[in-house]
Amino acid sequence: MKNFIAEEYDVIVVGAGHAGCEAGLSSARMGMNTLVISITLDAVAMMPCNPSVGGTGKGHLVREIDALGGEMGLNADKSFIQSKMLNTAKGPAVHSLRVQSDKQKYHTEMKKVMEKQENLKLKQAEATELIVENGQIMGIKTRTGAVYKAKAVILVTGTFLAGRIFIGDVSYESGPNDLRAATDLSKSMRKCGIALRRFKTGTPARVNSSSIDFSKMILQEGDKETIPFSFMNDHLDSPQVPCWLSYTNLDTHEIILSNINRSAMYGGEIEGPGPRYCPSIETKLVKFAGKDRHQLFVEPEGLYTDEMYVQGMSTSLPEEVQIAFYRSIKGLENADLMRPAYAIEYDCIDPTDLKLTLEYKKIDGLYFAGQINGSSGYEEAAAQGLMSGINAALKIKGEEPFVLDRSEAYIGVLIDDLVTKGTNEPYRIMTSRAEYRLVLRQDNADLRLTEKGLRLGLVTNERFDRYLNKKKQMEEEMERMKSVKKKPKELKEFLDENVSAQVNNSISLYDLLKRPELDYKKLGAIDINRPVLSSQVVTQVEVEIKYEGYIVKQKQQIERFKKLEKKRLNSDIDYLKIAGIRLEAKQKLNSIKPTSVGQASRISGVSPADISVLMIYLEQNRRKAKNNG
Amino acid sequence: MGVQRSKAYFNKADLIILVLDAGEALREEDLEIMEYVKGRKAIVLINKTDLDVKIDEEEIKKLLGDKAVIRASVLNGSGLDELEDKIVEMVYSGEIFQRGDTLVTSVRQKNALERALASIVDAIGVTREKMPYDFIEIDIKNAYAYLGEIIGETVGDDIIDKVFSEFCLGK
Repeated sequence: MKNFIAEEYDVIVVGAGHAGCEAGLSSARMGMNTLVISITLDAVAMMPCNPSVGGTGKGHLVREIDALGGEMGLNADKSFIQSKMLNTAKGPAVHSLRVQSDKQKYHTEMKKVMEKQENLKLKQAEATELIVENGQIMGIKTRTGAVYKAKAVILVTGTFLAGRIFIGDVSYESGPNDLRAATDLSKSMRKCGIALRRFKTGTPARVNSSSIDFSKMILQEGDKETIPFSFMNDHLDSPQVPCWLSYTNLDTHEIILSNINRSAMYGGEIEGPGPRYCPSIETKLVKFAGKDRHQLFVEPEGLYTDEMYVQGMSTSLPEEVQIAFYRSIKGLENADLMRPAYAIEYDCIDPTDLKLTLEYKKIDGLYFAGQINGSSGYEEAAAQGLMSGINAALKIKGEEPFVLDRSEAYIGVLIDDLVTKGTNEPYRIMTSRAEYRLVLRQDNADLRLTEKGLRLGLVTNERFDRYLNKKKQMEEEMERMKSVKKKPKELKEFLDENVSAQVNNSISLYDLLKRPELDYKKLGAIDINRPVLSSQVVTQVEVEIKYEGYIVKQKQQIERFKKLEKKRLNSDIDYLKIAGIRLEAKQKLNSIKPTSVGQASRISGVSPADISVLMIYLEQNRRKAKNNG
Repeated sequence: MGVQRSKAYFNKADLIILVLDAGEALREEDLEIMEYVKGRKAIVLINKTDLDVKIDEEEIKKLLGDKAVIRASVLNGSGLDELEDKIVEMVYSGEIFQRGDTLVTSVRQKNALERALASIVDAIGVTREKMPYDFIEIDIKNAYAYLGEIIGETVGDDIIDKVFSEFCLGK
């Protein structure tokens, strides 16, 4: 094969899944001449697993991506076929939006956006080699011998990288959904000194809806009033389709358990660990041995097809066992399995080899995002993709990196967790991972991040105007509620009706709203002249007033947290030379090279005592420098 | 795993409260732990007595005859006062004592303790208002951070300042 110099770019993105799309778009939108390649262009923004976007914690990520000018939220709004706000019975911190998506539409809409994007080229090609000179990325080579030069390369290979599918004792080289795997790139990465390991994930079978008896299942409908993902949309009127709930039973369990040694996972065929939060049915049966049933959701893959996704039933059992146990489930007695369930194993890196910008510590200009960093999930991938694209562009422009900390965004929590703590299994975001989740709500992602997105050049004027307008309406409404006061006799009847304590003096609407038994809607009865506001503004006003006291407390915690984040650590500190820090901690600090004392304190194996010693060391140095200066 | 972790703490503990599940028969693991508890300061707490009692209480008394055995149900609150009384009794009778220096020796420690207490009182208030867990957590975290300042688990800026103001370092 003859190599040829093809073209030169600022940024090359290897992969066009959820991470690749956001990486390519953000880089191009920041003015970088960008190339995005994929083994097949039919896999652009492909959803190889569940047909949905969002969910607990993940919905927060989508909102944040949107606020920063990313594409996932907009694309989810274009292609949803059912929408639900989850956890509404719980506190505002954990409300999470989740939609069912039309997979085909999600793919085609995103591909259109990519095709129309200025500065962005989309090509079908397989990267087979990285070109690295003197610790600096120079470009890539493809299967056909094309050499593309670049200032930065972003690897977003998902499950394509040395992918291998397992169905029982059958296994073969393959990317997701039986697409071709990327077979050569791993070797080149190892040559460049990049350590690789194996992770695995799985997906359930797809069943033809005409073979399902839905009368035996429980109907699951979406919310009557849908809330968009994107802050660019006020409301959406797409028709919604239902999902269905059913359960496994003891027969199902008997079939699975009597064949469990034939599962690729239990037969020891697979080396890599799987996602704890999205386990296969055989794992669930072993782990929760006492449970006599497990729930499963039957979800449409789109409006274009009769294929149904069976959420909760991922497995690596042989195909004939799959058919038997699926058919033991109520409503699936005659199930026609169109695609078998499979487990897939793939190459990924240790994310502690990355900086907080997602740049590889030992190779300048090489970035990583998504499953290759050990995460799982479309939303986690998209969030990292966005941040890698932003940081690659900033580096080329010679500007300061863009890092979100744990108090600013779930994106910050996600990346800090991966890069600082590492992960031994596919990492999934969860609301419990965020320390400051009362402040990091999905409803205020625009208020937290739009201005940052504007400074990066990712937020359009239209988006910024919408943000300013929302903020202004919010502030005015909060002021108005403070100023409107009601006399005791005006309130008597209203308070009685709502089982709320009577008042002796005039009280503002603002203070009334703080009462747990009252809400903004109820106050409408005594607040005749209120302005007409969007539900987004009302939600903000309500949460900010109702939980003001707690939000203030959490902001104080954030202040304390920021103090340690602001204590910067130079990358040239040799921790082995600091007396008093334990050896294990010294080694960890030297390998992670944290950028702040705060980050150092989160490294596993570094104790508070080590941090105290480190801070004394820093203070000693500061004083020395001062005395010498 | 659980047993290993428990064992690691046995030697550090001033008092062991061995919690057993009344709803289940004694397991191999429980018996193993009970062996370790022998000869150490301990209270046996049989929890979940609101369920059908399947545990063999005679067996427990045979193995750990010299220990106080308290029947409780954390679910409905029974037995908890009795547990508290027993702990207080053991402390004041001198039967158990904390190792190490537990005296409050500085204004800083006193302030931290007072703040921790205030945070705990707030947390209790939040549970009474039936607020979501996220809100309770904010106060509990504060309490934890204040207590951590005393034992050095929370790294505060002020502590480092204090170190430099009270001791002579780095000249």
